[in-house]
Amino acid sequence: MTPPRKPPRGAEPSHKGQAGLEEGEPHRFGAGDEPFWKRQETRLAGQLGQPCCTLSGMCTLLGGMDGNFAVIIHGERDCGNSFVHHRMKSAERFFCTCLTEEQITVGRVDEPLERCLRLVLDEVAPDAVIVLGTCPITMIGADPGPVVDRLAAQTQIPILLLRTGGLKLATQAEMVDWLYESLAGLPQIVRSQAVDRRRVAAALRETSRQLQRDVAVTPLDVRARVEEALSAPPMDRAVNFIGLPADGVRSSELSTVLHSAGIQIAGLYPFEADLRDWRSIGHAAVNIVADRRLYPRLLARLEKEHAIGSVQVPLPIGLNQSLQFYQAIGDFFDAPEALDQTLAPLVAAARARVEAFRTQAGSIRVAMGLRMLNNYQVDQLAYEGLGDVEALAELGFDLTLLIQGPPEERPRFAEMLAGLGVTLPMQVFPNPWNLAPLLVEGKYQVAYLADHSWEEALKAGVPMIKSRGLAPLLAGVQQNLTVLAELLRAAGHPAGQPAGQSAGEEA
Amino acid sequence: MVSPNVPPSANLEPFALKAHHYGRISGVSMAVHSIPDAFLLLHTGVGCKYKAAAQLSVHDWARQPHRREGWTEVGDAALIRGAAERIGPYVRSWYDRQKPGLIIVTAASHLEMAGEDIAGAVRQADATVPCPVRYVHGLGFSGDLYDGYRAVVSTVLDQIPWAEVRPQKGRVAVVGYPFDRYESDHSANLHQLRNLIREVGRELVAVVPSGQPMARLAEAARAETILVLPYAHALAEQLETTGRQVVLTDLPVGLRCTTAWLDHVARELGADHRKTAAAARRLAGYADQELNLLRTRLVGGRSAVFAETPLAVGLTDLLDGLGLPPVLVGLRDRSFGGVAAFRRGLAPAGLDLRPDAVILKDLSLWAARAHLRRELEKGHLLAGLGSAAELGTMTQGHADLQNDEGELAHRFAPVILGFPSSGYHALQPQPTYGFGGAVTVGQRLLDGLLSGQA
Repeated sequence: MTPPRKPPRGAEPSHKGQAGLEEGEPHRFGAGDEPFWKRQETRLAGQLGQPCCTLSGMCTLLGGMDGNFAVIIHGERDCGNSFVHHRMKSAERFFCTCLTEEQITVGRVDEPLERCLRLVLDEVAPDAVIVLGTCPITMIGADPGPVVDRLAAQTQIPILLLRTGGLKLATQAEMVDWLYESLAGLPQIVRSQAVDRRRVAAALRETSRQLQRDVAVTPLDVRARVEEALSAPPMDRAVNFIGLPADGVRSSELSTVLHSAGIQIAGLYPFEADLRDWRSIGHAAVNIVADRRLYPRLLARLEKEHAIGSVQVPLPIGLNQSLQFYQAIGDFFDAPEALDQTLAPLVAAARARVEAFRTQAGSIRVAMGLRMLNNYQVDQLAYEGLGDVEALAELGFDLTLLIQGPPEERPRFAEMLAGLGVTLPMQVFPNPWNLAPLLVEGKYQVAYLADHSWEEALKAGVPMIKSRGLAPLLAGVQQNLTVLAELLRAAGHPAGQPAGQSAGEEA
Repeated sequence: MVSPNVPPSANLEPFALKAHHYGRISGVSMAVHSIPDAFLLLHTGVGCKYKAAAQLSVHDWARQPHRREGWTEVGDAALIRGAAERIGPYVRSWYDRQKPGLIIVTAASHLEMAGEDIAGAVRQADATVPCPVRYVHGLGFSGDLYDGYRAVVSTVLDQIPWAEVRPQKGRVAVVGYPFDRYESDHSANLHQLRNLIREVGRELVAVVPSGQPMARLAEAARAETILVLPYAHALAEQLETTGRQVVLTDLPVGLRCTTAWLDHVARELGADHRKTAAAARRLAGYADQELNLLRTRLVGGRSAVFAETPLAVGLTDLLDGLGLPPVLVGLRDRSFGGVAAFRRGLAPAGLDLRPDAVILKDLSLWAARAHLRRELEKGHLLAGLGSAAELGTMTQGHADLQNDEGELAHRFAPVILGFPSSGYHALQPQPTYGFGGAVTVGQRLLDGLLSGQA
């Protein structure tokens, strides 16, 4: 059956605008649009990351946060569909004013907001409400401020109004900083009530594990641990970690190492932070931050309102970056020796594994994708997505950056990378669906790409690791090398010998 | 504090995020995804992209929907200057890159409201590329996913050369199949449909949509009869103009509903309905025998169903047949007629709900989960059939339902089906439709109940 296609209209006369085509070059129906594309406003906004809708971004991040809060999306019903809500643990805390066409057309949008806000305050009794704007509200120039102010004045519950939307393209970095600065600006919980419940839970879990394998733990030991966990850590030894990879904050390595130097984790932002954590962020001596540039507003607020300074660290991925990470903490607390002592066996093991892997692997061509995601995760955004480069480079990999974007903007990307001190070879590709030929042409042996690139990597026959899939800290080194060795084994590379013989497995 | 098992008041419920909050754009995206050589151009701001492929990408492991979707990158400056002029260049650019067989353009509400002639811009773009370019409204104030899906199906039907192709005797096409991913649950459903149609002595030539490209969908023109599933009933008038016999049907889901479906189709097609009835008895008997193993172990149990109305009818039949009558039914659509339509749908199979059953329409996530928790607390709820939206948190992370080992504290089987099924993927054929579908869902339910037991 013939496909129901129109005859190629204008096939003959239509070759207008195709004059520049070479013999044999495929017909391009958009060839006449060059002036349009040249007129385009830039989407790059001076950052490597993709642009985002601040409503989508904030809903995504708030939906993943625990706590007794409510989010009200002030817009049409479908605005509540601009994030993947069904996978979020706090989606039940979301509301939408579901404005009708008539309400938007005539500008009668305050009444539904007031009604929704009152009902939420009454029934949910949240500790905070976040009201988010949308494109239709921006477009008609409505100002929800007076409604929010009026209700905020009548209640003790803080109500945050954030004029979000998708019409003004923002970078993901701007959005996360705006949200987190706003959450940190909520009224702080008094320090005596800000006991870290997770720390208590973690202490109990650890004690329970020890009890199972070590009968020598006495009830007194248990009591001492619980009491220690229940007491608020001394402020001058308490750290806010900001922007660490999600997996990293769940690692016991971090708390164990810090504990050995008498340093306490005050909060782990944003991945493990709930509403109470954000309302306790002022109770720390320092912020240890993976990429300060991501959080200008948040850090300024913490400095101004709580006199908490910040120390920048790399993403603690791989051996060298993990060492730099711990060194920065040790230096701040003037406790390098204590940390070194605890870290020594971990460092030695990790170093031996890395060196063995390097020796066996030789130079492996690795393609690292950049600017392929719009998932608002700060560890993806840190250092413009380049946070894992050092971890891959220390393994002796021959790295090339594949940047998703308009190829004609290559010079701008090159300029941005140079500004970051990155001199790696790079290629710019227009969309993720033509990656396979690029991977084949580049003779890459491993691809480090956004998770939606599996199909392309598979087509190209190149083993792939999901970007930001490397495990953090020293404990992550072995895990990462094992994964890499398995991938290389699957691809027939000598570095990927069976477990037990592979470089990644040798200690 | 939100109480986990108290639903929002009737006043707050309309504002709460819905279990199926999806609007027309999501349905348009789903339908375009179902046609591998179609392309969706979103004339929207950046956030509206999340209403489309992003919702599907976690649902379909077999084919990435992003690769057939673009957007016109409308920002505030473009809105002020006039955004519709962007459509043409983007259509041509994407045509050059992907050579699609059909381009669908849809727009966000605020752009449709801005008063620009988007339809005109799409018509102009249509004249500049070889494939059809069509505009489908994306208005987000009203309509739901199924409206958007149906609008694209309608557009596809317009591309089928009904007038040019002679219908062939004994050939049947099905219109309105809800194809949302390229995994084996759908290929299995299509196989069930084909076999059912064979039982009435006819041959299935095309299912629209079914994961097939435009050229294959055009095979529907060979059919002398078009069976219309509920998702496309609203297109009956359009289908009447094709000159084919048009037969509206329910869904063949559940043993009694499938039997009723076969009987209805046989009668409408003038087939030997006694022969068909005998075949139905035989096939239902096989399925029934298998399900007996399960049925005898479920006595006294109850169930919950969350689905769009036509599917909810079939699943109710299926669960009732297992001895697990639903006590909670969540109808997640806004376009199939609500509670009355649901009850009407039960009638042909001679079904009714228990008097204590609760039926909720377009319910919120909060309400869905609160009602589910309530029923779980009563201790009789053994199974829930629904999408990952309603049931996802029943298996991940809701501490109040879990015991110390992280398992569900109640003996409860959440069976995820329909859209979104991000928590469940089909590596092998697993139908919901037909007699085979009843056994497959029964198996999944059993797996869920026995999960964690040695």
